[in-house]
Amino acid sequence: MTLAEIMAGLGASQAVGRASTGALLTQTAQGEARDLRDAQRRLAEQEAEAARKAERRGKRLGVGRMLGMAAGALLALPTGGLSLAAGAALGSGAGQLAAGASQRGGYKLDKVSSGLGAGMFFKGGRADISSAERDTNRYINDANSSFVTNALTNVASDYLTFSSLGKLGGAEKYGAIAAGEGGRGEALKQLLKDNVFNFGKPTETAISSTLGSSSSLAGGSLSGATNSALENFRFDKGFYGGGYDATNLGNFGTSYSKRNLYNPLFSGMGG
Amino acid sequence: MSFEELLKQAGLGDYSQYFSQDPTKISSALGLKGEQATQFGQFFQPFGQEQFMAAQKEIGERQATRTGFLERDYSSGLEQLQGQYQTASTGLGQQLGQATSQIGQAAGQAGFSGSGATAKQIAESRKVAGQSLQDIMQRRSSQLSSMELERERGLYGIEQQRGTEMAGLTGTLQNYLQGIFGRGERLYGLDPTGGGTMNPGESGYAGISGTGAQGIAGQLGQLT
Repeated sequence: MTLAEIMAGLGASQAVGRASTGALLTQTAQGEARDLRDAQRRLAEQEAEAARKAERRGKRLGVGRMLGMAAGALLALPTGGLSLAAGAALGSGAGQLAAGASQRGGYKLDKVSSGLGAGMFFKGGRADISSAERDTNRYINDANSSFVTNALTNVASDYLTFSSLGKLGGAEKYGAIAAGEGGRGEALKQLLKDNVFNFGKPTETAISSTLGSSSSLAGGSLSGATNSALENFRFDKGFYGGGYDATNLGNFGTSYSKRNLYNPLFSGMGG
Repeated sequence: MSFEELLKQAGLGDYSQYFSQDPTKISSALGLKGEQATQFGQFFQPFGQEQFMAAQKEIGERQATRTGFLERDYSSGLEQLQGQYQTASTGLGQQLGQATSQIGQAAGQAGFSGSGATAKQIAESRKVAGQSLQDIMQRRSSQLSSMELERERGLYGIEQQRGTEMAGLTGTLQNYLQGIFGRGERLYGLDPTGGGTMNPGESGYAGISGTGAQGIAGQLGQLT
């Protein structure tokens, strides 16, 4: 073999080797870049889904609480007093439990996962994705635990609300109706008539003022100020009406408003 | 001459680790470590040492062949010159002998044998022959110098040719090293991870050192 042939062979093998390893490198790097983009997109989609589920969960909780509390209160209405409060609280708890249990996929928000596999490149990008994933899962954990706390707090809040109610005339009035010939149905009608159909009119029934003052039927929490706030609320617009003393209500949710996911229920109600 | 010696001769002795036949060692030389070095080795093509050595051997053989041709030409020229000299010397001697003989015969026939005129003629003939011989020797010496010079020029040319071929061969070393460093730059530009230890577990990321729960994410995961 002549020198020219050997040199040509040497040059060719080097060039081909460099080209093939370069192509492999490009292929690997491009593939990993694509995987990173996919992982990023998956995370964003899962975050959005968790946020949607949190919103739905909050709504269901509020509805479950309201219905459960109303049902529990009505059942206990004839007896009045503390049993009314216990009934309302148990109903509220049962309603929230049912709302949570009936939620598709359970009441818990699912953790997110980027699904990013092992790789050789883009250490910084991978760290960013992992960091985002961890942060999101931490928020989800917090949101899940605060959801349970909220439900329990709601139960306690409802108990306190109705224990106050039991001492007022409203309870006696509806209790008497419930105990009469009309029964609970009549009492409910009257209650709705007084508190819902007379919406906008100033009413002095104890139940409306007390129910209205319970800060957030759709999911508030019992802060330290809630009890004193209950005393000061002016409620004249029905269940969800305004008119309450905002300074005593506290700032449910506003401190978390930066991130709906953290407690979308609060962020939806707060401010 | 070994490959390492050739590298040193080319002034690349400090870069011998990049010419390893094990790609892992090449990536290690670029600062990639452990598992990382093993994985990134696939992006490096080892240098064709065998071909390089074959080329180097071929260059040596070519030089030897050229030198052989030159020496043979030179020897042949020398023999030719020697022959010419011998022929000329012999011819001159014969001519001188014939001339002396003719002068003696002529002198004998004329009855002047042993006279001073005859001796003078013979001396004159010898003088002419001596001058001719001197001319022949000078010419021989001149031709010999010319042949010697030609030989040295030839040897110089052969050495130059060898240098050019070796330069071409050294160029392949340079190209290879440039390719390796270029590849290294590209790898580092792609922000390499810890090789195969990346991204297992929930998030996929285990940090730059450690696998799974031992990685950064794993450790953080345990804390949360």
